[in-house]
Amino acid sequence: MNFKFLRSLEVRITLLVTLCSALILCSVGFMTYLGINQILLKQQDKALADRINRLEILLQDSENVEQIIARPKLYQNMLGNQDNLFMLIHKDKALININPLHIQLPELAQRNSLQFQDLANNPYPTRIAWKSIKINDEPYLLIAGKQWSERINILLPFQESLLMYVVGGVFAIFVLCILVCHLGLKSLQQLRKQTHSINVNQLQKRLNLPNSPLEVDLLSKDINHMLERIEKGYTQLNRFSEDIAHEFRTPLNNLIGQTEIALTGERSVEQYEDLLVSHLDDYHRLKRMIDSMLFLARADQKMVLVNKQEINVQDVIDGLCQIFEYQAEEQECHFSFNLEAQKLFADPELFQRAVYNLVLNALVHGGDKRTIYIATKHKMIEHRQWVSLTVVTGGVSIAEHQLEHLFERFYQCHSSRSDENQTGGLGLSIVASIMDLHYGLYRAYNTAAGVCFELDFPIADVPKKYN
Amino acid sequence: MRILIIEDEIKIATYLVKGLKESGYQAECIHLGLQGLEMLKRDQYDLLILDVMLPDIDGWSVLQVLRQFSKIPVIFLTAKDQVMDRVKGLELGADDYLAKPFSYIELLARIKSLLRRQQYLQENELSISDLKMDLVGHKVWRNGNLIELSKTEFNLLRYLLINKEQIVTRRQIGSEVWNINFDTDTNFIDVAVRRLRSKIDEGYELKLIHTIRGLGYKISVSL
Repeated sequence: MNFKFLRSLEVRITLLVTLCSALILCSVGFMTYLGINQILLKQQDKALADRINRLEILLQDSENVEQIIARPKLYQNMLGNQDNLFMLIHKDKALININPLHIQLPELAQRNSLQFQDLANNPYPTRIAWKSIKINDEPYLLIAGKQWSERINILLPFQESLLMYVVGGVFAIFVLCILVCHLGLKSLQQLRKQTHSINVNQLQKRLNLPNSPLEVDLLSKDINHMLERIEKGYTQLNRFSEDIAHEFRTPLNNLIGQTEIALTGERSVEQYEDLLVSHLDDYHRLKRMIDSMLFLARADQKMVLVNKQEINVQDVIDGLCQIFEYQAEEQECHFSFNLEAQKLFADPELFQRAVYNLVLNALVHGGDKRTIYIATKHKMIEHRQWVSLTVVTGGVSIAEHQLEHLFERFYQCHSSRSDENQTGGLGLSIVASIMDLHYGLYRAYNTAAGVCFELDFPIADVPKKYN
Repeated sequence: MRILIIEDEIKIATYLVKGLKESGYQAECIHLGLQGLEMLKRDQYDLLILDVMLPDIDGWSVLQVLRQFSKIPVIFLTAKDQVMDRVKGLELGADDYLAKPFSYIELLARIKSLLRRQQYLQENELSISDLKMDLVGHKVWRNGNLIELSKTEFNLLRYLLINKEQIVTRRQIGSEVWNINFDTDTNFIDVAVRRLRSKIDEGYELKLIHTIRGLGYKISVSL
């Protein structure tokens, strides 16, 4: 059987409310039934007691006793009601014996007070009351009885109508509940419909559910926030793909064009060699781009091995300065160092690559005759110790609206894309990825001295010691 | 020296055979792992170049079986270059690992280094023609004249001389001299070589440092 419908919120709420109200109605009905039964029992007992008391008063007069003994039929008729039981017993002799149904009486103890007993094991269940009295020092036993049927005759129809009311009530609640749920959860249906209508081409759409309940309102707001983030990511991804395509296109264009030209006529060996060398350059460029993109993709998935260890910053900077020595000389650029923090924890190769990219960035985009300030210092962020490394290109500033995009993939301040020298706008995004892998921070901002790139490395993460 | 190449991409296998033959090796290729293993059992080879992705059994399995009967050096070639793959390859007994796309010059350098691994001796002096290099005293002479070199230039010259008569790529130089193990696009190596060349070759008839266009550099008496 398919119980899928049970997963519907409407059905669940309806069933749950109906079940609860059925339980409550049943218990109220049951209590009412018990209450009525109790009242009837009390009335019955009172009637029995009254009857015994009346006869007792009557019997106090000795004349009456004799009359009764002489003419029991009179009393039998007086008492009428066929279903009832009434007996006056004197020394095992029944003076009055009204027992049309021949109900067997058990042995009754002699008691001066009124006693009650149920005779349930009987074809006609009966409740009896009895009392021992003394008249002229003679013991008499008075027994009065009423059949249950009298009470049950009242209770049964009551029970039936009660049951009907309960069933009717439960059904009414069930129907009402379906209606209320349907109306109450209408906004949820709308939410579903609106969400369903949002697809990749309509990511700019937002959920709009006026007058919806608070819960649905909050949910739709959260979904809207999520949509905003997805839209942003999707746009970035789209732009990224477009940029990749563009970046690939340039070297491919060179390859195709040059080859086609070379094939249109006779060429000398030197010309073919030139062509091959030029091709190799473009192949290398493509390879570098693929490597960078693979690195970024792996870093995004945290699939790059980060071997954190203590690094002597001075050594790394010295090494890098050797690399950039000649380029700096040619550009008449100078390096200035202020390494307050000498050590930090990072993966040596990744750290080297990040700083390399920053310095290269400073040299390539800063232009000639600049001073590049490289500094490290300790700092506290939220009670944690960090080491921050800054690379400032003196006398250069970047427009504020461009600063936030600097670390984006393929982002280039100058949109001409004639950046032959570099990885095609991936250098700083690789820095960003490396910092993410180190759970560090990165930012770029303008200072009085020049544009500053800051990398913050946490040092709480002390490396394991191997013996 | 006999080299076997097990590689299912026919284009790569063909140019590797061609290149290695030109470099003076006896190279053969086969496209299936099991056939490759048979050849390795039957004949004597000095080195194996093995692709990880093969149509019948993968390179890992070939290496596992091979290591049961042979200790010849193995270079893995693969399009996958995740760290775990490298570790797996080296754990299984590969001697080197190259990710595609790889540079042929680099492959050649690694083949040479693997084949001479046993014969390699630490020398205190390197020389070519009239150029002499004292590794202990950190001095360089050309035709008896002392040449002043910076630390970087000295390291660069040493690396070129260790690999004399061989082409070394920019990437190799970057890695060995500057400890840069990622591909860079800057021309700092070219600048460094240019400076070194001006100190070593300027004023001498015989030029020693040669630019091999598109590939890298070579220190040799003749081109």
